[in-house]
Amino acid sequence: MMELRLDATPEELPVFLTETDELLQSLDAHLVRLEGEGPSAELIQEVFRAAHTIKGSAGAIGHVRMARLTHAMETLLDRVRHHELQVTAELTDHLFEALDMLKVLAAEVETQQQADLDVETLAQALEALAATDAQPGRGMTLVRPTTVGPPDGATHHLVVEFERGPWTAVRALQTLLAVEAVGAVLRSHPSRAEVERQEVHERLEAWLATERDGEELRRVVAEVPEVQLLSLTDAAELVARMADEAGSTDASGSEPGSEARSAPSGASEATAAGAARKARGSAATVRIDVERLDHLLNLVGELVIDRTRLIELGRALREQVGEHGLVSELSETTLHLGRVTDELQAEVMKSRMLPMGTVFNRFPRVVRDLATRQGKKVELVIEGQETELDRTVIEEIGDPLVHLLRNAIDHGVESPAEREARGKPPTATVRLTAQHVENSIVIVVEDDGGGIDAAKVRARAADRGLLTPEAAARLSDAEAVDLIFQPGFSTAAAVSDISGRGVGMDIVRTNVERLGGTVEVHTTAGQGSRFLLRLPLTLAIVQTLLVRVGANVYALPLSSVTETLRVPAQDIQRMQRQEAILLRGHVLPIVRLSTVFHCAGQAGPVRKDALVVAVKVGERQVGLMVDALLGEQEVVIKALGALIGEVPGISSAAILGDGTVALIVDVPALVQRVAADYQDFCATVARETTEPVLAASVS
Amino acid sequence: MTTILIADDAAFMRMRCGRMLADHGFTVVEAENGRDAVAKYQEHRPDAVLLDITMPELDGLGALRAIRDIDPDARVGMVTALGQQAVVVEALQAGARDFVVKPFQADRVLESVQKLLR
Repeated sequence: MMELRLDATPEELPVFLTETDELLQSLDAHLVRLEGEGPSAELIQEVFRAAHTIKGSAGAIGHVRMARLTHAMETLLDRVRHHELQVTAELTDHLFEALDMLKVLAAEVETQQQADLDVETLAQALEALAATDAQPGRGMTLVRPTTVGPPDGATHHLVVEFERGPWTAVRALQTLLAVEAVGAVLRSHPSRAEVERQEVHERLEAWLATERDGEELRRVVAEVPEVQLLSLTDAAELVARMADEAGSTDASGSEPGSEARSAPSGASEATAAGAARKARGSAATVRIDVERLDHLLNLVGELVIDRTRLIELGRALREQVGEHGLVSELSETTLHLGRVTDELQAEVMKSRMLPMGTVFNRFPRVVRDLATRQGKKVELVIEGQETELDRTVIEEIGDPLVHLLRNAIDHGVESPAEREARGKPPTATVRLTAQHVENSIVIVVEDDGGGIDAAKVRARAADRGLLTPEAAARLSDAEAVDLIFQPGFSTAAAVSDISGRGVGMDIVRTNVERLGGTVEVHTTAGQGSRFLLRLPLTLAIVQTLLVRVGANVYALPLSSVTETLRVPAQDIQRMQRQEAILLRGHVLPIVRLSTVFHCAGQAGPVRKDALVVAVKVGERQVGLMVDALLGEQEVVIKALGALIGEVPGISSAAILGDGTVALIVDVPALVQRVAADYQDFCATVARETTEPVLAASVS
Repeated sequence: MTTILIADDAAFMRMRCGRMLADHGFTVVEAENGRDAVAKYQEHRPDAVLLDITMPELDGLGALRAIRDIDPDARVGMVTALGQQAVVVEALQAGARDFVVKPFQADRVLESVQKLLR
């Protein structure tokens, strides 16, 4: 692989990358809209401007191939902009192809390696498209040699030549303007109007009238770059010379100034750019490194710990010393510190929030590609892009959402023919919404497709051995449909590379639950389905219930704790290896955390009352047996770090006020494991015994 | 202290150009679109202005006209890409004094700025 050499400092590259990525993402969204809605002046201008900006920056850092491709895109888009070219499927397809290639080219900047891309072929294809239906180009009029005598009052005759290139017209105008600053241009070839129409070849001749001398004229002309003075003659001299030569008089000089100024082509930029653009916000925003925010949050977390410590110390001091003046002052200051720290923490948390739009951005493209590939028509409606989430959640929620979208299109949405047969509009609607509800965010993915058939799900689940047909029959329709989240389940007869075989929904649920959220589905056969995700607003700080198991302190996220129980030893039932209690008519499996975490603790049967914390994840509930309840505390999550790696059952850690390390329990994983074991267990018991208590469905 | 106002919607370009001008002793003020440029011109009254042509909200040409309305003596140069000759022609007529082509070389920009300042 060839190395990619770029002309940019290490400081400039991240800025280039961030900006280019943003532009590419927005290009994605715009192109999808363009394809769907058709061209509008605003949309075209946006797409054009994005390509133009990327071209500029790419050129500036020396990324030749990227600049080349964007230039070709720009050429094509420019013609569309001027209504000289229609937006066809072929055109948008080419633009999408170019966009995908641009993404790879941008990635090259990170890896500093050239990818194996055929940029030139695509660029030429774009340019070929741009050249179709080309209107007859504006011809360049040749500069006719002046053969007419000087106009009255002329003092000088000027001939200048321009460097070959695209700027000749501009240089010509600059020359005329420069001269006009010190005198008047009486006549010129090409004329002023022609110059403004860019009908300029290599030379400009002009008759001037000025009071200044030749030297000054020379100097003035010399200021214009890329212009060479061929001759500057005194008018009188020239006339004399011409009279001598008795030259022919061709009266076809064009008159300067008398023609109306024609507006140069392509000046529609002013109008198009003036069209309303989504406000990017004024310059009152700052870009900040994500690492820096993380660091800030860490520091705030430490502050919170110290604040708690100060409170404890204050309390201890008061016990020792009594109500001393200084002790009250200390407690007042600590209180104030607490208020400030709380606010600081809230502000840092807010600054870590990102709008859902950053995740939603890539979906229009995903939906478009999927729908096209399957020959289905789908309209994606997105609402709530401004809803904000902590970036830790935002990072994780993208994939599950993409999967739900794929599922909706793959399994939910019917083909246009089928839809029409059912009396539905041929274009399906997939709606994606996000909104805050109390302390969580609720994201809904719904479609107006065929819905999920509970009967089919039941049959499949039984087929796959997930449960017995009788058990399946006993489930309500809602419970049956929920089976799609079981590992090993899939109604797709063939493995579709899009959704995979049974790997889909259970992963979605697992991932969402790992984030401390829940996902449920509501469906009506024939009408559509609705997936509801509930997520906490942040993963960085969590309210926990501290418990002691053996000699260690563990933290249980409060969001999953439903209640704490003191259970008399005799109420604990034991079947085979599983312990359980009856809680308000439901069976609650009990898990000894001391066993799970291999702590020194009670291994034998419980002698006295047991402390059980009931936790619930989704619909599954489990009781965790602990040695002591230590109280509730809000903690800042600290990752375990690479050295420790992954520990089953533990998600992360926190440092408490007194410096102890508390391990945060991965409740969803634990519950899932137990529930799975327990379900097997229940199934076995159901088959082998007639115990009514245990045959009741597990809540 | 000579102040130059640069306007470009691409942060990357502002960074590059601004850095380069600052290295040569100029004080740089940045604007990210035409409207911003006009506002900043009013506020800072820079000694020279470099305007990118393609910008949102108000493009270079519009900003040029607005700035020249405020200050008929304003020294403005346009930053342009290939293919924008027509706009440059219009800009020159509206009072721009020079133009720089992207991707620009440092010396060309400096030359242009020096010309504007003269």
